[in-house]
Amino acid sequence: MYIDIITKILLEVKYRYNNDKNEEKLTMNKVFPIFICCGIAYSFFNGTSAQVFAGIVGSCEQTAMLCIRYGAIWSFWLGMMKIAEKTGLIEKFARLLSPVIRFLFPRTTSKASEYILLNVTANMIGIGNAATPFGLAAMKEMACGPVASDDMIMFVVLNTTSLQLIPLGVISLRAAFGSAEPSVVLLPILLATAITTAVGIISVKMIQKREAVKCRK
Amino acid sequence: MSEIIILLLVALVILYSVKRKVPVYDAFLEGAKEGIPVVGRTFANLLAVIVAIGVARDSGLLDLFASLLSPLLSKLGIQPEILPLAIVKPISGSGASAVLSDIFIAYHPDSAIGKTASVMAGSTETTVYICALYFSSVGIKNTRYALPVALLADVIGMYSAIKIAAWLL
Repeated sequence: MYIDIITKILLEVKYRYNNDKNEEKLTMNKVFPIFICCGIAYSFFNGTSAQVFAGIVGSCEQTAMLCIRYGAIWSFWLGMMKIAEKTGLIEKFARLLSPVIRFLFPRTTSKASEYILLNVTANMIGIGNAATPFGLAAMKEMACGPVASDDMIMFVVLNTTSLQLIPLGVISLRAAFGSAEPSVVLLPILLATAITTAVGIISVKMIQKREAVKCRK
Repeated sequence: MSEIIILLLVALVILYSVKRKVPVYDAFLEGAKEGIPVVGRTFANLLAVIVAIGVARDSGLLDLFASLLSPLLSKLGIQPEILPLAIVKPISGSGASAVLSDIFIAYHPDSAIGKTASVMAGSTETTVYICALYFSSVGIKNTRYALPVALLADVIGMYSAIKIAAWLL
């Protein structure tokens, strides 16, 4: 069931997914020259040109090391995720979540809530790359006109707050840079991300009570 | 404590897959080989961000900004070294990884700053980017209160991340 859905959605959103990269590039097209040019200009004024020049070489070495170490650690977790997926554990977890989804999105169709469920599950277990195609498919199911409905806003806010059970990305990065206890941040992150998510959900629910925009499809 | 949780999960997943007679090793290889292509795709992006931040830092520009803002930051109990991460995190995911690894290089992941930065990086997502992507994918022009609420959650989340890190770590 999973592989079927995933391939279908991947094909469907391929075009849009390529577009999304452009959003990030648009911002970076402005940020990149500002950092480089202002930095170089300031280094002349500050007398730090030698450090800046040496720093460029250092940054390249740093990137190479990051890719090798982080890539290997990250690959290990991807392997574990694949095992969990093949044994059906991820699907079981998704089923546990479905009552929560029904509470948060009372007005969505069953097809939309299935995509929402897959998206939220992928976000929670920390495979963000897999979450995006499901998220875009859910948005498409919920879409109606140029104005965002309450359920859509709840969904987007939920995605921006990242309720992650195990922050494998941060833990892998810590390990890659030689931390003696990379996973010590697990509980603090869980707490912080729970606060972010709670603030998001409560604010949306409170505003919804005042001014509700329902989707009439 | 955290190590035990993660190791237990690893062992449980493997035990469960053995019980369900899933070819564990094959599944592991299938998943793990996806890792390097992901890194390969983000390599150029990471390189650009790390070099750009390196230039701004080595020239002394970042220190200048931090010293301008430090009276306000120290009143709130925020280390100025964390500031670049708080600014980049809502805009760009790979940018945030680059800034975080930059902090790890400069201060080590196990320092107070390194730990606080880790908690902060895990507390939110790339908000502005997700909002833009999700809403534009279905042609929505009026996003109503979505971005203000998402950013409010970010600010509160990141601030509590700093407080939680100071309290627990």
